[in-house]
Parts: sequence; C-alpha cells; structure tokens
Amino acid sequence: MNLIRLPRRNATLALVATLLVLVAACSSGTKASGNAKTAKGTVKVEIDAGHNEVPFQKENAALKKMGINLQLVGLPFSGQYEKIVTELVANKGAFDLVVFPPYMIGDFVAKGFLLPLDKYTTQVDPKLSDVLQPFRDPTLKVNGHLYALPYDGDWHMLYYRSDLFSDPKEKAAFKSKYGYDLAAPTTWKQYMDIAQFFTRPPSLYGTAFFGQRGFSYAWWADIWAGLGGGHWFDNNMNPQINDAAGVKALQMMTVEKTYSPPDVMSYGYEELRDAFLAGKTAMIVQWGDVGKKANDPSVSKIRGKVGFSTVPQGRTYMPYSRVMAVAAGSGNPAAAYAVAAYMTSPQVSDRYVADPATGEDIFRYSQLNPSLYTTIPPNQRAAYVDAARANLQHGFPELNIPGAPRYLDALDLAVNKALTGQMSPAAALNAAAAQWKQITQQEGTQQQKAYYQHFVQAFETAGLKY
Amino acid sequence: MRFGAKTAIKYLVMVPVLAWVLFPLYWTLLTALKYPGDQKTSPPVMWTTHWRWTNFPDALFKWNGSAGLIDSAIVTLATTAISVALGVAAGYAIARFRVGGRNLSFFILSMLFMPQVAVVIPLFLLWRMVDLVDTHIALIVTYTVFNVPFVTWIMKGFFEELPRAPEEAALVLGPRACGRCGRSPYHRCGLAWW
Amino acid sequence: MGIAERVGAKPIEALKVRTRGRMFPRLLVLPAVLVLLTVGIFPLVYSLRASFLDWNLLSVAPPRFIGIHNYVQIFLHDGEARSSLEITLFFIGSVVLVQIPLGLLLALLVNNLPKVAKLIATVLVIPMVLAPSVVAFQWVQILNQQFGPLDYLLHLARLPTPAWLANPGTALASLLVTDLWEWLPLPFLIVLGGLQSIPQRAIEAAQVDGSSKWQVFWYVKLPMLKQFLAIALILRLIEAFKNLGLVYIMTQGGPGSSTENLAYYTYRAGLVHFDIGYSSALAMIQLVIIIFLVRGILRYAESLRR
Repeated sequence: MNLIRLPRRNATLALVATLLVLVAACSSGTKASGNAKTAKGTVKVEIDAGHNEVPFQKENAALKKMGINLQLVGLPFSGQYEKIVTELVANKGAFDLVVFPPYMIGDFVAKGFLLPLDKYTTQVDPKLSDVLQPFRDPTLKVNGHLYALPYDGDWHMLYYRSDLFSDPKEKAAFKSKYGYDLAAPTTWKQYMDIAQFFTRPPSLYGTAFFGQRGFSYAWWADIWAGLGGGHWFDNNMNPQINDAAGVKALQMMTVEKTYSPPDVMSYGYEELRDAFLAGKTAMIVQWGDVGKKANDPSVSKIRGKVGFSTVPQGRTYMPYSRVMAVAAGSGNPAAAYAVAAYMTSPQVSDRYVADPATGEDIFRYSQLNPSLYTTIPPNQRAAYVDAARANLQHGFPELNIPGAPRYLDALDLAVNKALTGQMSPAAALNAAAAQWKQITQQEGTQQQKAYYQHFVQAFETAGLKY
Repeated sequence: MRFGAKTAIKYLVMVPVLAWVLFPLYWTLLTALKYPGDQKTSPPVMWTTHWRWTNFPDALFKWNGSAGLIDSAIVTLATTAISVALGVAAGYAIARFRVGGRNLSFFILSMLFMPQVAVVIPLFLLWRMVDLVDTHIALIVTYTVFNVPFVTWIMKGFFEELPRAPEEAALVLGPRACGRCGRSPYHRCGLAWW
Repeated sequence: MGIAERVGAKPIEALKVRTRGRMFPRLLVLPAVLVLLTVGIFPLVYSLRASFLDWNLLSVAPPRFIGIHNYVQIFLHDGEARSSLEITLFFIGSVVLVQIPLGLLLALLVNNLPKVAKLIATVLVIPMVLAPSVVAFQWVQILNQQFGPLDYLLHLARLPTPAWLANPGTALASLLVTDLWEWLPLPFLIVLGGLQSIPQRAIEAAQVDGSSKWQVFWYVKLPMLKQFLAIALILRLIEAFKNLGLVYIMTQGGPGSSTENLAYYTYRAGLVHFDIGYSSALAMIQLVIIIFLVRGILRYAESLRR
C-alpha cells in the first residue's frame, strides 16, 4: 500500500523536473518575427557558414545605421539545398533573404518560394548594367523576371606554373616532342599534351581536377562545351549530354586522370587548390579565388610562379556562384531587398570581392580593377584581371531550370563512374541521359520546355553565345 | 604476482591495440594545437611544440562553437532525463510483469530500425504542423523516441537478472519491512541506469 | 503457496495485491508507449503511405497513388539500388566477420589482465564516445595521401601508400576500418561484461575434469557468451545497416558509386531528388530486412536460454 504510493511520489517529482526542463527549452526556441512593411527592421539572412558570411559580418555596423538588424543563419555547405527547401516548404518565415547557388533558382521559383524583384528595383537600383553578362539574365532571371541579385561570381580559370612554362630547357624539350611552342593551352588537345609532358611522378603531375562526387561534372562540362557541346537539351527536351562531344570529353577526362596525382578522385575544393599551390601539378583548372591565395605563404609554395589564362577552346564553365533572393514568406521583404541591393552595390561588393578573408569573387565590371587585388603581386594583377575578363566573356553559366539539382546530380554520378572505370564513358552518359528523360517527365515536359527556352533566350539577351 | 610468458604476450599484444586506438586521438589533438603553416605540409608535422593555444577559444567564440555546445547540452540533458525515466519504468514493467508479452518489447525495439532519411521528412512536417520547427523541444522529443527503446531494452535485461524474492516480500510486508528484506529494486538498479 | 500466503496475509489482501499489480505495470509502460506511438509511429505510417505514391516534394504536380509501382521499380529496374544493397552487405559482413570476433578476442585478452592493465584498457572505450561525424572527419585527414600521417608512416616503413579514398576498393575498405575503429569498443564491452558474469565454478569444474584451455573456452565460456554476442550483434547490425554519416562525410558515395550504401542511396533519392515516394519505398524495404534479421537473432538467442 505505502510502497505503491512511494513510486508515485517519485514519479511526480520526475514529472515536475521534466516539465521544468521543457519550459526552459521552450523559451529558447526561435520563432519567426514579422514586422511592418518598412525598409527597416530585422532581416534574417540564410547563408552557407564559413568565410561566405564574412562580408555580412563586416557590413553589420553599416547596415545597423540604415536601421537594419541582421540575423545570420549559417547553414552547412553540404546539405544546404535540402535545408533551404525544407524551411521554405514549411513557410514559417524562417528566412527573409536567401543566399544560394543559382542552379537552385528554377526549383525555388517554380514552387513560389521567391518574390519577383522587378518592383523593388525602382526603389534601389541594383546597377545590373555593371554586372558581367553571364551573371545577368542567365543567372538572375527565370522566365524573364528578375528574382535575385548576385553575391559571388564563380568561374573557372586556368592556372599554370609560369616558371616551368618559361624555362628554356622545358620549352626546348616540349617543342622537340610535340612540334609547337610551350604556352598556356588554347585547345584541349594542347592541354592534354602539356599535361602528359609534365607528368613526372611522384613529385610533379601535369594537372588535376575535382574528382570527388559533387562537382566532377563541372570539369567535364568545360571540355564538353569546348569541343562543341554545351547544349543541355534540344528543342524537344531531349537531353544532349550524351552527344558525340560529351562522350569524347569524358574519354579525354579519363586520359586526363592518368596525368593527375593518384589521389585525384578524392579531390574536393581544398585538395584541388592545395595540390596546385603545393607545387604538385603544372596546371590546374579551378575557381577564380585560387589566384588570390597563390601568394599566401602559409598555403602556397609557388609564390610568384603562377600564370593565369583562359579555359581552353573558348568556353568557361561557371559552377556554383551565389545569388541573393527575397523569400516569399518573408515578413519584411522591403528590408530584405534593401540589404541585397546594398551588399551587391559596386562600392560594397568591390571591397569584399578582393578581400581574401571572404569567399566571394568577381561578378561586376567595376571589380575588374587590378588595384583592388592587394594580395596578388603588383606585376601580376593586370594578368589576373585580364584572365578573369577573358574567361567570363565566354562564360557558360549553370543550368537553372526546375529540377536542375536532380539533373546535375545524375550527371555527376555518371561522370564519376566513368572516371573510376565502373562504366565506359558512353554507357555512363547514356544512363544519365535516360535518367534526365525521366526527371523531365516527372517535372512536366511542357513546363520544362518553357523554362528551358527562357534559359536559352537569357544567353542571347545577355549577349552570350549558348 | 608471477609474470609468465603468457602474460607477457598479452601485454605485447595490447601495445599495438592501444596504439591503434590512441594514434587518431593524438593526431586530432596535435592538429588542434597547430599553426596553419604546420597543418598541410608534406611530409606532415608529426610532432611540434609550436603550439597555438588560441585555436581553442577561437573555436568556441570566433567560430561560434559555444552556441552549438550549449544547444547540445540542453538537448542531451533533457533527452537523457526523459528517456531514462520512461525507459526504466517501461523496462521494469516488461521484465517483472510481462506487460504486452513478447510483441510489445519487440515493438519498442523496432523504433530503432527506421532508416534516418525516411524519418526526417515526416518528423519535420509533424513539427511544422505544431509550429515547433527549429526549437529545442522538437529535437528533444525526436531523440527521446530513439533512446527510450534503447534504455527500455537494456533495463529489461538488468531487471530480468534481479532476484524476485525481496520484491515480493516487500510488496506484502510494506515499506517498513524494506530495510529488513533488502533494498527496493530502484536502489539495486541505481548503478545500472547510471 | 505464494509468498503472500506463506507469510500469513489474509486471502483477500493477497488478491488485492495481485489485481492492483495488473494496473500499476501498465501505468509504468504507458508514458513510453504513448511517446513512441505518437511521435514514433507517425513517420512509419507516413513513409508507408508515401511509398505507394508518386510524390516529389518539389514538383508542382500533386502526389498520385500508384500502388506497388515504386517497389516494382526498385526490385526489377533499379540497378543502383541493387548495387547499394551489395555495398550495405559489405558493412554488415564487416560487423559479423570482423567487429564481433575482434571484440570477443579483445575481451578475452583483457579479462585476465591484472587490475592496473584493466584500467588502461578503459582507454579502449574512447572511440565509441566520440561523435560519429568527428570520427569521420578525423579519418579523412589521416587518410589524406599528401598531408596525412598514415601514408607518411607507411612510406617510412617502405610499405605501399595507396590513395585510400580515391580508389573504389580501398575507399570502401577505409570506411569499414573507420567503422571498426569507432565501434569495436561496443562488442568488446558487452562481451567483457558477459565474461565477468560466467560463474568461476563452471570453469573450475571443467578444468578439474582435465579439459584443455581451448576446450574450456569452446564448451564452457562460449555458450554462456552467446547471448551477449547476440545483443552486441543486434545493436551493431542495426547501426551498420543504417550508416549514413560515414559515407556522407568521407566519400559521398564515391569514387563512382563504390561506397554508396542503401542508406546513402535512400538519402539521395529523398533529400537531393526529393522523390519522397521512392525513398519511402526504399526505407520500407530496409525496415523489413532489419526486422527479419533481428527477429532471427532474437529467436536464436532465446532458444539458448531454454
């Protein structure tokens, strides 16, 4: 009798304790905050955590003076897509300003996650005419409407060891073996020749690429576009990734693998950059920010020995980038747009694009000013900027129609499988193309056609070759 | 204490085992103390006294690690308290009184089986429905669902090992007799659920 | 006669004790069951329902009932699902063939060491205590061919220095070794506990009978350990089957698809392609497989008790 009551007393204590803990936990939960429709107030910014937050942190004080209270929500880089999607699906006003790579923009617009910005551009002019062509319509607009402003420009650049390329012994040996002068390659055939020439294991290799799953397709896209491919679909939404140029490009990439370090398939962003900066490869195709780090003594062993050039054969793929858009469920869209316009304005963005502490890169004409790049030795700044301009002039932005993350995921797996020898290049690309057909059907073929036609149109509007 | 050849061999075998466990921990600790210039070197820096103690406060405050630690502490403490309370009760009931038979205990265990991916989206939508997305409560309840079966199962095992006689006597004779017959089951299992 | 009667309690009071005893244990179990039913069952039912739909969270088309079409697709037309199951079998094989036996051996080794050595052996438990993502990240650094200590030490010993995470075969092996490093303490601890509960008399009796050390082990110790091995096996098996974190952090399923296990494939289907219907069907299949495996092991363990 008493014994049965005793456990109940303990149970009551336990229950009370639990409730107290729960109440404490409750009060620390975060909720959405809505505000009046003024261009001031709290703006919750979603961004991938790390050095890409730095520009916002540095501008925090200035934005405070404008009456804006920034709250940064840093998401991990991998898994960012699904986290943004699940939050926007929940539609609880978790974000006001969303920072993401533009290949996701088609999905977000199709589901109504983003606000069209056309009416806000009359309030604050985002100075889009100063934005480099590839970062304009093909990146920021969907179906002809403006949905985003640029934050970070990503593009490929060819880096090479200027010391090796200007060494007379090397030049003589190269000329006698291949019959033309050693210089930064202008065709993919030359690129392969040079890579072969400099492959001297174990201390030096010709080149390297992003072998990890995630972006290996982007390095294939450079070659595919250069060899005459580069059209994702035809007019009837049949995928073209397995056309002759695509298969040849993937075959060339498997050969390129033999001119790369043996651990190249595990190379992600950092490993790839480190391989070149540690002096392990003679050339590399990488994002533009490697140039800014090339003179940092804590990571680079090749200071002063870096040359900048364009990706061979006239097409430069532009994987990733970052844009800023206003969430449709935002409680304060005007303030969110004000932040976006401020951060993207020439005077602010010119500052952070050249700052090596941030992860941001060139997307404006005004940023093609050599004097901004103080971490690059003075005699090389002009070369860096010239190479950037040249690459962007025939830039080739990512696919951004709805379903783009799915298409690119399927393509990346195919490229990766072919590179490891699991499938032949032709079989891998055919399998990916079959998957692309399925995805198109699931998304709705007619809808996809409309989006894709606008995407192709955007290249023409921006004055780019598609 | 005799130190025969067999014991010597046992000690010898322990050396590589300990090395296998300790080396990755050593490497992590050493890297935590390295300057950036010592980190990605070829050949790697295997030992250094050039330590950068500021890495630790940087991790906590500059890169905001402390916020994550506090969140983890809140969620872990609450989850543990609730899971143990519910699990001990359930484990005792199943062990002593066979509540629900074999099926109930398997059902509880089966909550561990669900693959994470399949669980994430429905749970997210559930929390959205009750407006608890992004709160500590959502995390606590979610973790509790996966920890209660664990605790229940382990406590069930321990309770099954306990002799029944003192309990039955205590039930009949009342709490005053508890001291004479032996401690209550909760005291016995104190160490176990700790 | 029950204890109540023996002690001299009146029959009615004894009856009261028994009936009150029926409600009280149910009350004890109730909170746990309530939590599990509301929050735990919901994802299960949701996934089951979703597995019969053609439903993509990001497409504007609403979910459509398609019956068992997802399952048919998985079983008959999805080569990637099949190969991911093969990879998962490697994970399970590693648990059954390496982790459990090694845990057993290690426990046997440590069991007979003097107390001081036993204290040192508590160090062996540390890997299990670390967060899985931390372990994965740490091993990526160690396995790095250019900057990592492992290949450096191998090079000094004039051993081959493969690019662990860059080749299909060694990538999977690396994941299995990382898993082993992290989880070996679990079977080790469980079996050690089991060894210490073996009554000394049984061993002495066998030794008096003239059994060799091996016979003592095989005929006395091992049968008594079988239940503990079963517990360790079940716990490890469930985790190894569902293992997503290692693959996600270390290789993302690559190179190619050589480390893409069923859990990672399900993740890709559900959270990259947002094909909820398909990933739910994959999850249901995994659930059924795990249920069968665990039920089988539990039945076997129970049969040993009799």
